[in-house]
Amino acid sequence: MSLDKNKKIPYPNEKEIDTQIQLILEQGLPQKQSLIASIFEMKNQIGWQYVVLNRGEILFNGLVLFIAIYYLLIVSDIASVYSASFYGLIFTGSPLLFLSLSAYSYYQKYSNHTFELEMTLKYTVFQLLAVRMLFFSGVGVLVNVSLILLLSIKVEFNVWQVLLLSLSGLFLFAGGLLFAIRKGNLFKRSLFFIGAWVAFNLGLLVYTDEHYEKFLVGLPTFLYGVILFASLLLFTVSLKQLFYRKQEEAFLC
Amino acid sequence: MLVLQDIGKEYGDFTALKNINLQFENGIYGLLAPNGAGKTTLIKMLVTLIQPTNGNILYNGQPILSLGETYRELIGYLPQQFGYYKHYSPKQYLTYLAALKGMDKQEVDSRIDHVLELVALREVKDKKMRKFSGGMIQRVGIAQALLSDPKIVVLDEPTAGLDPKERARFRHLLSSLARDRVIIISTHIVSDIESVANKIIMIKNKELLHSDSVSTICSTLQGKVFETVLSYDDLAVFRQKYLTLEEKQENGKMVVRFKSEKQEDDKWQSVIPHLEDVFLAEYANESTSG
Repeated sequence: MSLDKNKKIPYPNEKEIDTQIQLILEQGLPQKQSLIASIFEMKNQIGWQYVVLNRGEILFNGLVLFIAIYYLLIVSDIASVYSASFYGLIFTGSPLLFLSLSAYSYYQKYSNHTFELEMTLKYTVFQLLAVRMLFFSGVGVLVNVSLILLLSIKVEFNVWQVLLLSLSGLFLFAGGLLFAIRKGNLFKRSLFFIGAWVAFNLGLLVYTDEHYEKFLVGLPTFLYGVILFASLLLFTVSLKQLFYRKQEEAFLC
Repeated sequence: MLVLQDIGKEYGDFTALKNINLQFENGIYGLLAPNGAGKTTLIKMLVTLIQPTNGNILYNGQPILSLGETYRELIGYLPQQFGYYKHYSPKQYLTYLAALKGMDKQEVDSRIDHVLELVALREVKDKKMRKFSGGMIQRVGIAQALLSDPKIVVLDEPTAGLDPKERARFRHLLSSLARDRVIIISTHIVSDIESVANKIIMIKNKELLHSDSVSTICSTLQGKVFETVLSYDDLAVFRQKYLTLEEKQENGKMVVRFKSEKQEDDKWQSVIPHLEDVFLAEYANESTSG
């Protein structure tokens, strides 16, 4: 077969070569995005309305907020006659709103049997849960701080110390829950952790007389700051691990 | 191309599947076995819901687990139990799923209209799903599986709850879609796939029994399926001796379709075996519960 010497062989120019090299590198060596960048990319793709609260969740959590305020009124009443339980009840109850928001979100998927389908989609159930828990913790902070400031009008206490105590309680719980579900069976581990949190704290409140309360009251504000910082660190690290958790492991033990 | 290499799944001491080797190219594959045979286990492995204990599943040469979201973007999946939010309309639910599938926002509305048209639900796209019948919900499930125009469609018992007209529409739909994608349908209803599947996959005793065309699988019973006419009184004894595949009343007698290794009576008429005959013959001793 004779070769036509006049025929020009198409050859890419420098720009085309660079573009193709870049494409090969992007496909072959995908760069891992930061957590914040990934969350914003996900938000842009999905939209906040599906990442955060839907109507059912707003109604349900409005009810929970009402219960939380009622709980606070009880705490303030107890505090006025029996101050020993005050700190313990604040610490134990701090994650209440966060827990109810997260649990309701789980429950909806579980009871409607949508988990199985949603686990096969591009954005993982874990990514969705992680972003929602980040949002819910923000809501938890706002509500806890507002309620404690309101409570400070009625009961006399060290506002800074109680704020740090409440936020430590919230983020220890949230960080612990995220840590528990960053691998293994999602439902079993969530239930175990929530049960353990309630049983441990209520057990301490009920069975240690006033020692637990004294311990909580006696901790210096600085130490509460350290605990809050450590729990925030646990929360952030676990959030990242959950966000990048492989979808395929959700029901494994 | 989707390839399963020596796939096995164990749950503690219980073996759900073993030594499964399969290859899927564009076309319709019918996964046919009784309930409890391991169909759903295999389906769940294909859509990354569970991991095989042994072996690999490869898509275009790469393990699907390492492909992660790149693989999941290619899948359209209808679970055996299709979950939905009752207070959503089909349009709202499909919009939500489109977001999680990472679909281009510009094309979501037109895709939703298109897939709802395919399953004849476009008229009710804004109605709440709590008022829908089982068949309508199942059609929403089929629509969502096709929403992102996936390259691999995996449907677990897709015709449950559909009436005969809807089943026929579903079969036509599959035929038109199969040209440029892999469609895997798990079912124990032979008629759903007999006329449309390019290949039938049958699992028995946790292992692959057949992976072939309908005609090749049916040829395994060639010369072994017969029909004869019996009186009611003879039927009980006949059943003890032969595996009956179909029994129907006709003019006060029983016309029996059955399997026998050879023709033992001149009155028997040899008939062409159907896939249903193979199914009944292969799984004659297996429980169909669960």
